[in-house]
Amino acid sequence: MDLLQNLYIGFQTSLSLINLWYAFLGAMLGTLIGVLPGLGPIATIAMLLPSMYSLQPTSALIMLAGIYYGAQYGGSTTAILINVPGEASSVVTALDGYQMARHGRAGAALATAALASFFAGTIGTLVVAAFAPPLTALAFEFGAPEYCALMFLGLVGAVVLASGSLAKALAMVVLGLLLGQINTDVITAVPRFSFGIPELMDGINFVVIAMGVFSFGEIIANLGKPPEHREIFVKKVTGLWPSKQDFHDAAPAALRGTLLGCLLGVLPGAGPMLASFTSYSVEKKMSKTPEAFGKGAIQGVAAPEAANNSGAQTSFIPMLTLGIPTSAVMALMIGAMTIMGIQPGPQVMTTNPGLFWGLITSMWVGNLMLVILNLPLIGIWVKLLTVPYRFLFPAIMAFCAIGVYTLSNNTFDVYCAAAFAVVGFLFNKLGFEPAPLILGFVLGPMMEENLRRALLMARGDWSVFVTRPISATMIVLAVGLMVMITLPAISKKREEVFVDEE
Amino acid sequence: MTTSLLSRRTFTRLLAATAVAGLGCFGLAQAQTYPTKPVTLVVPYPAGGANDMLGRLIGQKLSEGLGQQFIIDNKPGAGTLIGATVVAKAPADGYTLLVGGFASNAVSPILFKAEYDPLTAFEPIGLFGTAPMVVITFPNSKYKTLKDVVEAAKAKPGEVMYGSSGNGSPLHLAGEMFTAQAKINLTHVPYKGGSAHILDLIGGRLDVIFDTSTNSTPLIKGGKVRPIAVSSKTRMADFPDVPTFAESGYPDFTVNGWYALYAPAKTPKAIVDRLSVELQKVLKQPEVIEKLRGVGVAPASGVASELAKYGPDEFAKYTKLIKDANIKAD
Repeated sequence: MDLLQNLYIGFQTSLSLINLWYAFLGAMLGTLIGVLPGLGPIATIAMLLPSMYSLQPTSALIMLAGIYYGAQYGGSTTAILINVPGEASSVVTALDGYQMARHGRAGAALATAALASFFAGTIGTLVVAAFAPPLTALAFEFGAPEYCALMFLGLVGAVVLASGSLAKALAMVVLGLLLGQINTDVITAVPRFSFGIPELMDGINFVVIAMGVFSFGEIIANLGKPPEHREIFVKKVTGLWPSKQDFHDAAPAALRGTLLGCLLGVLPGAGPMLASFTSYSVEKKMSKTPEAFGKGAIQGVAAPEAANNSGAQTSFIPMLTLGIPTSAVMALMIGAMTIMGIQPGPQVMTTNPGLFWGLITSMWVGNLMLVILNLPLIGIWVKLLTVPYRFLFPAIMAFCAIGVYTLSNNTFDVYCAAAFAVVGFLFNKLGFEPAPLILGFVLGPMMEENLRRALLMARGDWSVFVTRPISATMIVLAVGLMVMITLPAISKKREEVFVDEE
Repeated sequence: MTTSLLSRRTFTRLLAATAVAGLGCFGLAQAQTYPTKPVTLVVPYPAGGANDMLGRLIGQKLSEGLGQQFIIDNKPGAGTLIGATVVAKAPADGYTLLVGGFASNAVSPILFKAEYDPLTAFEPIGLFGTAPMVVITFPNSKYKTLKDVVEAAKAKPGEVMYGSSGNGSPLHLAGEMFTAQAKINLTHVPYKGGSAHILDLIGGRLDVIFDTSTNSTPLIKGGKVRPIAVSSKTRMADFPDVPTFAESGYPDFTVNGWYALYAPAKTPKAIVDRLSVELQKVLKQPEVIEKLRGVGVAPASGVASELAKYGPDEFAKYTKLIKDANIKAD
C-alpha cells in the first residue's frame, strides 16, 4: 500500500512534462557523450554539472540520472561495436557483444543490451522502492571477512571468463593481481612499486589497462594484417532486431542477471561490476553450450547487461537510506544536491518526499527514455561500422586518447595506455585473453585490503573467515567452483592440446 | 608579404623590450584588468566529494564577482600532490589557482615526497572554511562520552577500534592526536577512502570514528550515527547538545579539516589582493554561509594574512604529530 502511494508521489514528479523533458535530454546527452570511447558516466556528469546549477533541484537530479544511464548504455555500445569497454562492467559485455558485432549481429547485440537493461532497470526500481531497508541491512552484514571471501569467489570465477586455455587464464589472473599491487599500501601508507612516480601512487587506472589491452592491442593486430584481410565488421548484417530464438535464449539469462545484480549491487564499491562478472560466469556454467561463450553468445550480452543495470539501481540504496555515496557517480550527485541547497541524507525521504521518490521513479523513466532513444539509433550505430577501417581506427584512437586523458586530466594516463597497447598486442598474438587480467587487477587490491583489515580487526585470527556464516559459505562455493573447473580441465587436457596445435 | 613579416618581427621585439622595461609596473597594470580570461581552479581531488564541491561553490561565486569564468580542473592523485604540484609549477599570473588545504598544504608533503615546499611554493589568498572533527559512534554503542572511550581503552589497551578514510587523513591524525593526549592505545583501522568505514561503524564493527563534520553532519541529522564530541572551540550550532573536546577535558585537541585558496608563489601582490578581497566578499554572502554551514563547514574570513600564518602553523603541528606518532610513508 505504502509502496503504491510512494510510487504515485514519485511518478507525479517524474512524469511531469518538464521532468520528462529533462529525463529525455539527460538520456540523450549521456548517450551522445557516453558513446565516445572512454568517456564514462563520471566524466560525462562532471562535464555537464556546471550547466545544471540553474535548474530546479528535482529536474536537475532527474537529468543527472538520465545522463548516468545514457552514459552507461553508451559505454556498452562502444564495448559491443568496437571492443572498447569504458568501465569494468562493460568488459564482460565486450566479450560476446563484440563477437556478435563481428559476425554481423551488432544490431541484435545492441537491442539485447538495451532491452535487458530496461527490464533489469524496471525490476531494480521496484526493488529499490520496496526493499530498500532490508537490503541496507544486507550491506551491513558485509564486513571485511565477507568482502574478502566474495573477492576470492570472484577471482576463482575469473578463470571461467576465458574461453581458451585454463593455464593462460590463470596466468592472466595472476598478472592482473601483480599489476594491482602497484599502489599505496592501505595499512601502512607506503607507496609500492611506484618508483617515485606520483601518478603510480594510486595505482594504474583500470580504464587505461582495459583500453590498452582490449582496444589498442586489437587495432594494432588488425593493422598488422594486409589490408584485404583486415577486419571488415559487417559483411552481411543479419537483421537489426534479435530473432525469436535470440529472445528465447536471452530472456532467462536477463532474468537471472537481474536478480544477481539486485543482490550484489547493494554492496558498496564493487557491486555492479561483480554482478556483471558473476552473472556471465553463471550463464556459462549453466549453459548447455558453454563453448559458444566468447564467440558471440547472446546470453553473454543479456545477463551481464541486466546484472549491471539492476546493480546500478540497487547501488543507490545506501545513498538513499543512509546518504552515503557508494560510487563516484553518487558522490557527484550528492555534491550536486548540496550545491542546490538540499542536504543529502536519510532525512530527504521525509523532508522532501517528492524529490526522493521522484528520483527513484526517474531512474525508471531514464531507462525508458534510453530504450525509446536508442532502439532507432541502432541502425545508425551499425552503419558506423561500415566506415572504412582507415578512417575508423584513427577516430577510435583519438577519442580513446581523449577519454583516457579525462580520467584524471593527466597525460600520464595516455602514455600508460600506449604502453599497455604494446602489451595488448602481444597478448593478442599469443592468444592470452585479457578479461581474467582485468578481473584480477580490479579484485586483487580490494581482496588484499579486506583480507588485511579482517585480520587487523580480528587481531590476527584467521578463523574469522570460516566462523562467519556468509564468509564461510562463499569460501565453500569458491572451493567447489575450483574443483568443478579443474576436473573437466584435466580430463579435457588432450582435447585442448589438439586445439592449440591447430 | 616580406614587409609584413618584418614588421611583425619588429613588433614582437618592441613588445619584448617594453615588457622588460616595464617589468616593475607590469604586475600593477595586469592587476587592474585582471582577470581578462578564464581562471583555472585546480581541485586536487576527483569530481564529487567535499573539496570539489566547495571549490565549485567558491569558483561560481568568484565568477559572478570578477566577471570571468572560474573553471574547475580536477587533478586527483597521490594524496593531492599531483594537483598541488601542477599549481606550484604554473605561471604566477593568477590564472591557475589551487583549492588547497589540510592535505595539499600540510599533511601530504610530510607523509610523501613532494616536488614542492608547502611553505614557499604558494601565495596564500585566503582560508575559506574549516571543518571541525566530530567523534561519532553507532546509535546504541556503550560509549556515550569521550571519558567512556578513554576508560575502556585504559582497561583494555588496543581493544577500542577507530576507523579512518586512510593513513594521514584528518580522521587518522585526529585519532593519533587524541591517543597521544589521552595517553591511551586505540587500534587504528584504515580504509581506502570511500564510505566503507562509515558502514562498518553503523554495522557496529568499529567503535568510533573521528570524522570531519562535512561527512558526518548528514548522518547525524539522519540519526544513523551518534556524536559524542566536537573539536570546534565552541559547540556547533547544529548540535548544541554535543560537548566540545575542551569541555571533555582535552583543550589542546586541535585537528580540523580546512579549505583555502592559493596562488603560485611570486604571483603579483595586486592580483592576490584582488582575489582575496573578492573571496572575503563571497564569504559574507548569506547564501554562501548557509551552503557552507549546510555541509558542516564553518566559513572563514578569506583574509590572506590569516592564511599566511594558519598554513605554516598547521604544517608545523602535523610535522611534530607525525614524527611523534611514528607514522611514516617512506
